[in-house]
Amino acid sequence: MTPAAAPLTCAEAEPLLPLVADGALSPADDPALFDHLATCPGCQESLAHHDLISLALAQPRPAAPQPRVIRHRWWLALPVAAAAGLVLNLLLAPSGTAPSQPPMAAISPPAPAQADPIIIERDVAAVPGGMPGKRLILVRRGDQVVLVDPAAPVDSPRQDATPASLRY
Amino acid sequence: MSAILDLPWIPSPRMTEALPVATPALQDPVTSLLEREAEPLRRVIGRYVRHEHAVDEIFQEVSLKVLRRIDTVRDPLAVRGWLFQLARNAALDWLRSQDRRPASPSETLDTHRAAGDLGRNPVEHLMTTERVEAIRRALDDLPASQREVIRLRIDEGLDHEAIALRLGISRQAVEVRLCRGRAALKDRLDAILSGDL
Ligand SMILES: [Zn+2]
Repeated sequence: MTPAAAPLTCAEAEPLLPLVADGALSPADDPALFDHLATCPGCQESLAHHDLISLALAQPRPAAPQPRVIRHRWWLALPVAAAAGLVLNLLLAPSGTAPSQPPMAAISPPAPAQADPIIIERDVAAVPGGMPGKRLILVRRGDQVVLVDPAAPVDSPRQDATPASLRY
Repeated sequence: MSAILDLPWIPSPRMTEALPVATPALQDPVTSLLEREAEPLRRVIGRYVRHEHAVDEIFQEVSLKVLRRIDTVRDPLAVRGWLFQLARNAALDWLRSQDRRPASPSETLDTHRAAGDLGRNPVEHLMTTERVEAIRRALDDLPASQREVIRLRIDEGLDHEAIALRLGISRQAVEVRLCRGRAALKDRLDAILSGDL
């Protein structure tokens, strides 16, 4: 039989706890340490916190955090949209919108009460796209405002925007 | 009094499966050991899990393992430490087997109250989304050499020898980095907990 191991103090046990938490020390490796752990509430709590760290770090990482987005009611996008009026007319006219209509008529929701909030971040605004669930993106760069269809192929002007900051 | 009737794991069908030829000579030392150590072991388990029913379930698991493996413990003086490790491992296994989505603080507080077990502060209760995030940030703040060994250990499951081979350093160097890194994470966690993030 092995001789009785000398009792450990907390000060001696504490530096070994990371190795216990890591699974690198077992009762067979260090009986005195585990005998101390079996009876010491302070070291048990300390080890439980090390174990909490292991569990936390083993969690799958969430997706990259979304940029902070300022949400406004849709009409707050009107100045941006108005600035885009010329561009909108050019882009929307070929799709059948009556050219005499004010530009916002083409992109406003049918009933404001049901309108989704428009998301504005820096120089980017998402606007309802006329069809349910459809969104178009207005990107203002200096004096230019560009209307982007996010459903368009990747070689669309969407690449000019900052995709990470777009939410729709 | 009958130790057998007082132990919650005795009526379990799994128990009878585990011990089809159980004899009093085999059972008595183990049941008396379990009876003697039941409360300390349940306290160890209670450091990890929140609900009493989970503590019961895990204690039952530990009891079965004790019955099956007690013969592997050569040194009677090592039994207490061995029991501690069985209980801790069983609690950690149970936590890993659960949906490990960290709870929000309000959620843990509510369920904690509902369980009527205020006063305990088990790992399960401490594991909120905010704290998991804070621990991740603390890992990101570690020196690269320490972060690297912790990542290889946890993300890739490499043991210390394998990490040493991968990095071309000694096993001792791996353990020094790992201990320093983990101690720093623990310090950060303790600061967070004392501020009750
Ligand atoms: Zn201690």
